[in-house]
Amino acid sequence: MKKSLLVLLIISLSLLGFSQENQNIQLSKIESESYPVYKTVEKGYNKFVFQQAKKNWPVELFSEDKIYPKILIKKVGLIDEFYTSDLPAYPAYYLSKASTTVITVLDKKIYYYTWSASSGATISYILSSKNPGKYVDEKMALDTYRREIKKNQTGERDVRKEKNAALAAKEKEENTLKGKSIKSIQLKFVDAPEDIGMLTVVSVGIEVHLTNGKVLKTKNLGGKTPYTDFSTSVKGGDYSGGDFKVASDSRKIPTDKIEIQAWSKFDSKVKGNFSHILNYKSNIFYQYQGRGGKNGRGRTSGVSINGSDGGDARSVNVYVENIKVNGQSIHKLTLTNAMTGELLAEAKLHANNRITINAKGGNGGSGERGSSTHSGDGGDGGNGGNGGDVTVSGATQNLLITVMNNGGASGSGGARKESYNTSGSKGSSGIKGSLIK
Amino acid sequence: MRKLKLIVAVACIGFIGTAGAQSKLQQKLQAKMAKLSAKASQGKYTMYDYSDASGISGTYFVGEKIYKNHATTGFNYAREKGGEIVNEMKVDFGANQSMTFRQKEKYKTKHSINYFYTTVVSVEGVSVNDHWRLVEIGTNVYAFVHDKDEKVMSVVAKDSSLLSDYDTETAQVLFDQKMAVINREKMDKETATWKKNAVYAKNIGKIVFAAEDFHLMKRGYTNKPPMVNGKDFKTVLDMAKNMNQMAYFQYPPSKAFPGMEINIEYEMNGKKTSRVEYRSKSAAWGKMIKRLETKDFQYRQHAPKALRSYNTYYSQYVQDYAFMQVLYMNKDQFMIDNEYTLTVKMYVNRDGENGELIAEGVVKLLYSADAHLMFDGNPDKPEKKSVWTQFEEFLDE
Repeated sequence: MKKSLLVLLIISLSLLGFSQENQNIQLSKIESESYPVYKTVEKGYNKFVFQQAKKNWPVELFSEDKIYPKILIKKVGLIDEFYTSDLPAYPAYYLSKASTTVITVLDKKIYYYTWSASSGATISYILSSKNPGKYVDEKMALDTYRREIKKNQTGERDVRKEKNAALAAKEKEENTLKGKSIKSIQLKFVDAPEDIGMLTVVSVGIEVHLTNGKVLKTKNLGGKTPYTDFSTSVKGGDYSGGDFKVASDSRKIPTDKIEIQAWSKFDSKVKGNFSHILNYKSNIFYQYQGRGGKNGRGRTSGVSINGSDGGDARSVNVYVENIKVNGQSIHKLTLTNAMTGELLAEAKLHANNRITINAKGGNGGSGERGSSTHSGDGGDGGNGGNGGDVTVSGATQNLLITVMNNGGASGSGGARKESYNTSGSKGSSGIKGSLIK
Repeated sequence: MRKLKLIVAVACIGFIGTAGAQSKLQQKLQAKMAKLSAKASQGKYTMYDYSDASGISGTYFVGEKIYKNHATTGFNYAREKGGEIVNEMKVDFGANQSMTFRQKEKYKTKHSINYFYTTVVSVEGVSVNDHWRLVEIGTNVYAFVHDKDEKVMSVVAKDSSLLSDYDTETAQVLFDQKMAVINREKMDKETATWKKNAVYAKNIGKIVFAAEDFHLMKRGYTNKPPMVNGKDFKTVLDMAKNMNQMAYFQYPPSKAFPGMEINIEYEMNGKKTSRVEYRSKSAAWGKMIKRLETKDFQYRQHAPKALRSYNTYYSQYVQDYAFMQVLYMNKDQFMIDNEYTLTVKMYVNRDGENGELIAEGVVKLLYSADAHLMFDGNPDKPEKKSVWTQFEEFLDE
């Protein structure tokens, strides 16, 4: 017993020894030479063995002042694969941009493998003058090494992080509006969109001319000045992250234009203005459908095994007027709730574009299956909600309109668990709404 | 049992015999084994009298045996049959065993690669549903490749002396090189197809936002160019409603950044959180923030991710805890009907260090009256836990 403990202790200490040695030390123990290659071969489910390949692969190590920044592996003697260290001062592995393969040298064995943070190493080859051990043992040694050494890399990694953070801070300082003397601000389209109507999203970038002659731009214009350095006021929609989204209700577009005013959030003296006339050449969509019923889930507190009914869609009245806006023939639409008279939305739509109204009934929820209910009986399916009635009146002749107002589908009944249990019954489908024009 | 005893006894005698006798016995055994092994490796040779103008047809020597002990195989290539171009090749393994392949004409024309794929498999012991490829990796040297995992199973060559140069490992590397050429072209073509889609083209490298996940991507169609028109993308999200996000990538991260993690950073009013950083804070955080790996981002868009969204199946909210943390850090400043700008940045990450920024988005969050009741609590419904009460319970874990 004492002997076994001693052996275990020696193995653990030796593993610990390897785990403390970074790749610069591990590589110093091997030479640039041609190594026998042991390939991983799958022999049954999850069972892997190493099999020696016919050819040796040449390996070249590059070093400078005891640092090994790079390894060259000549795969099958034909293909040059260069790998660079992950952290030159304290490397744990060598990687290549082009592939998932990484390289680690451990106990004079060169591991050629892929790494997943969750499942660890998948070894493809071991290049070594000595025979590898069992696959599971080699994988364990490699996984342990990779996970242990990461902790020791913290110091060097922090140094690199600080360097990168300093570079990022410098770039930020160069591009921020904070502390900059601004001469003028210009806003411009990223592309030149021809058709802009309701719900259209257009990219608008901001260019800032400084008094020292420099020009700062937002990302969508190829610059690095953050959108968050600007304050804006808008009309006709919302502006965020360089995108302007035209409103879904024409009451929010009183001048039939989109307008943006932008200024530095650090200094509001200089302002840039942008405006663009809308032609309303955009198809629009309105959603008034009923909500879907929930599926039966008897094991959840407060939820039945039966599916709940889908909701009825809203019934909508659409009143159409023909008007001229900015020289274009436009339909002005007023959408109201047919039951309450509540004004839902006002819309403007070019005569050549289409409005789609979705007033489908919600689908009924499915009944829970007997295999997961306490009793073994299946839950009943919920009924589909009814489609909404849509009435279109006014100057309807040339209006392009699509109405989707089918009743919601019925929820299916849950299947019984055993033959002596009962299956749930299917709900009934909702009724299709009417379209009056 | 008696037989077993006898075998053990003979073996023991063999082992405990004199050193000289043992050595002689071993030598004899080794010689016999080598002879048997050589005989076995030689296999059965059949010469095939096939020929065609392209020079593909003929007898090929087999490296690793494909069918039983047959050491040769016959390629019978026909460009035309009955006046029609068929590009068909029948490969014989002897004893009425064969596979029929068809040449991928495009790869020949575009890349000068002789590439064949099976149409009919009729070999004893090989499933008819198993598919194979034959790809030329050297002059009159072909890799015999299992289609499913792209593993080279054997090499066949007209000149048997080449088989020592083209072992399976070498063939695998050469096959992979050919496939890289083919795949690069596929990828470029795919990119061109995606870029024809206006929603994608306009949003490459951007994170877009919507109230519902299906406004970002038609469910189940991650691998297809966007089937949404983008009209439901939002520049302002009401915090009382569902909030979802999705990125559009220039190239699939699994291919452009293999073996890495994905990190998402959230920033609001100068306060920042990141999934990778918070994941490593404690077991409780690690449990709530799932590790994201590039291998799971195989397309130019990904399944929409909830910032905070109600899941009807689980009857509860699904939320990104790093996002919730950045809101929590700002919660004292929230005022009803005000908007707060959220910047979301998606990076590739290795060992806790951010690499390339692969997508970025900015959205305004509206702290509506409903959001206030939801996050801070509704005095009329004291039995209902507010979002912050629940989140603070988590922070106390």
